[in-house]
Amino acid sequence: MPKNVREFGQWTTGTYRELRRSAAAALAREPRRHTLAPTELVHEAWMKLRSTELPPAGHGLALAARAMREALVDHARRRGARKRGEGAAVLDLVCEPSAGERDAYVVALDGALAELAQQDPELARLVELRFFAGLDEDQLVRALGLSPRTLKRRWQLAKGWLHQRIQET
Amino acid sequence: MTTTRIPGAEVRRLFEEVVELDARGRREVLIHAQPEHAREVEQLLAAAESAPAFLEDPASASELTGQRIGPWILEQRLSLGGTGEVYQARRADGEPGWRVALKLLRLRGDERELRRRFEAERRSLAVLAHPYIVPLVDAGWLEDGRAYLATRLVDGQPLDRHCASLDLEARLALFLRVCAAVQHAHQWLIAHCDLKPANILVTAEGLPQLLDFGIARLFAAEGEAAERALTPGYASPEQFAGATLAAASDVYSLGAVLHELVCGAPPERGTGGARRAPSSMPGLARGIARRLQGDFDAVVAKALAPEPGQRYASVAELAADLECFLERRPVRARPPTMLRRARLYLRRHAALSTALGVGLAALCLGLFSLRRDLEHTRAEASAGWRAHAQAALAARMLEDLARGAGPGLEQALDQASARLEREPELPPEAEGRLRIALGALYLDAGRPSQAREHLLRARELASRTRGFGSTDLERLERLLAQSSDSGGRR
Repeated sequence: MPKNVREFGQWTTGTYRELRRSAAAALAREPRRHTLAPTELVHEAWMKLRSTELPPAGHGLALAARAMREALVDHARRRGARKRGEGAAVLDLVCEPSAGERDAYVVALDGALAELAQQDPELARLVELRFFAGLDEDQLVRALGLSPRTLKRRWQLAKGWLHQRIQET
Repeated sequence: MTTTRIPGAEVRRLFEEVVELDARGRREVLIHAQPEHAREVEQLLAAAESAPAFLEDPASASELTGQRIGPWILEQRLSLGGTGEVYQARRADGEPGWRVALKLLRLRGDERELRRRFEAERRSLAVLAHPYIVPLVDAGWLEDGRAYLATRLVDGQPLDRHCASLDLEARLALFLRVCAAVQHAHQWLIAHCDLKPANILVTAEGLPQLLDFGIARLFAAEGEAAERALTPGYASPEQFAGATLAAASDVYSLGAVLHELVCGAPPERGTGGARRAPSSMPGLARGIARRLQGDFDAVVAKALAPEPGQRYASVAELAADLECFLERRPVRARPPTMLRRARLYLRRHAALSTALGVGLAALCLGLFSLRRDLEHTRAEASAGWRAHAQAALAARMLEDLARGAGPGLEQALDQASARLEREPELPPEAEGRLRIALGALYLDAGRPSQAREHLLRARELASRTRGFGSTDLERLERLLAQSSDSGGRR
């Protein structure tokens, strides 16, 4: 593995650990602020990651996206649990979903995505990088080696399947 | 249930084929497919369309939109920086259509101390009133311990992107406006402390708008947190060392921005202060690199000096020196030698449309190409003495001319001619151009016979070398014609 990619991986692993640790600490210490603290930490780590010169490639990127996903889902789960107990996930889509509905959906999405990953890891990776890690189209094209057009179609497919799955449960 | 499994290859192929089509197009394709496949595809399509819209936004980005912060409702995230997230927001109770940029600050530390500093900062920001500084509209401290600043929403693009389409002079002119705004704030004892292209927007009218004044200072005394507010590439060495932030840090950051505007990237963080001069950056057009060599390099180096005490004492000084560079005056960053003073003098007056000015410009151009040729010769010739002798000749001639007022133009020309006669080793192109220039000057000085002498020698030199362009030759013939006209009349 090239040196910079290895370093990137190590850096990311470090960030990931740091991220989890500080998020937990922040939650324990300051319940009053906990609506924001963990996500802020993730954002910070992620923005640092994205602004680094090292290529966001391979393992490092996967780890970072995973860290992002776990933190966001965790965050949604905790906030959701605090607000209304373990709630149902199906959204009323007529109007703009509330923060609580969105949290519930994000948690359900995480589960559906795990199922998807067992059957089509590539497609799951696309969703993780796009929705949780927030990569833009250019970055996705580079990370996944797909054409922009294929990328769009695959995204629709993943979205369709995931939404179907979430509504079933 | 069938749908818990990921669809088979045929369904996926069909889905990808029809997903970009309109309803009719889809029907036309699906009617030929196996009915169970078609049904599966239709279900997937319907699900993809009814999936919540927020799936399209990254989860990391859409966290706060719709929330209320103070009297504001967040509409859309604009950016996410080291010091906080910025949202476009509207007033919860006010005019529709009126928007601000709302920055949520992530401040950590002792809350009472932070509050105190925040209030102080807010009061000082309120006094800043400058057309190039984005005004503060509102600031507040929220129940949950977060702080926010709302400024006017600016429609513009970051300085670096805006400058991509500008030439060197226009970039520097814009940069000088930025300096004026920073200087204004410094007069109120407010330092920016995080100057970088992303914090300098340029409107469609081409005017700069500085964002985030003083915000970095809120993070200043927080140790670890302070580091988060630093932007590598633009932050000064003492900022990295955690020292108190002051105007000198802004001078440094402006130097870094200037560096980037001209050569496309901020300076590398120097080990031991040695940085690459802007003119040596790869990718610069050769003409620009030559223009930057020397004075401009010196201005940037002085702004970026590792020791605050060696930088410009104020932004105004930096701006003044840059203006000197633009006007081809000697810069303070590089005390001029006699020769350079002379050359600058000549270049400055090159624009004068008096006969003398035109003549001097011509001679100056001649000498410049001489210098280029000499550099070329120098690179080739192992015998360095020859090049040195030639360079010295050019220098003496220039000095004589620049002193102009002393012996007067005619004497200067005579001296220059005499030196030229004593100098046997000039490359023919260089000597030819010099003689054309001298010819033009003698014509201006009303001495056509001397002019003609130089011009004829130039014509002879031109016939021996291919180094003359057609414009040189045309000019030579025109001058020769003039010299015989005026010679005939006298």
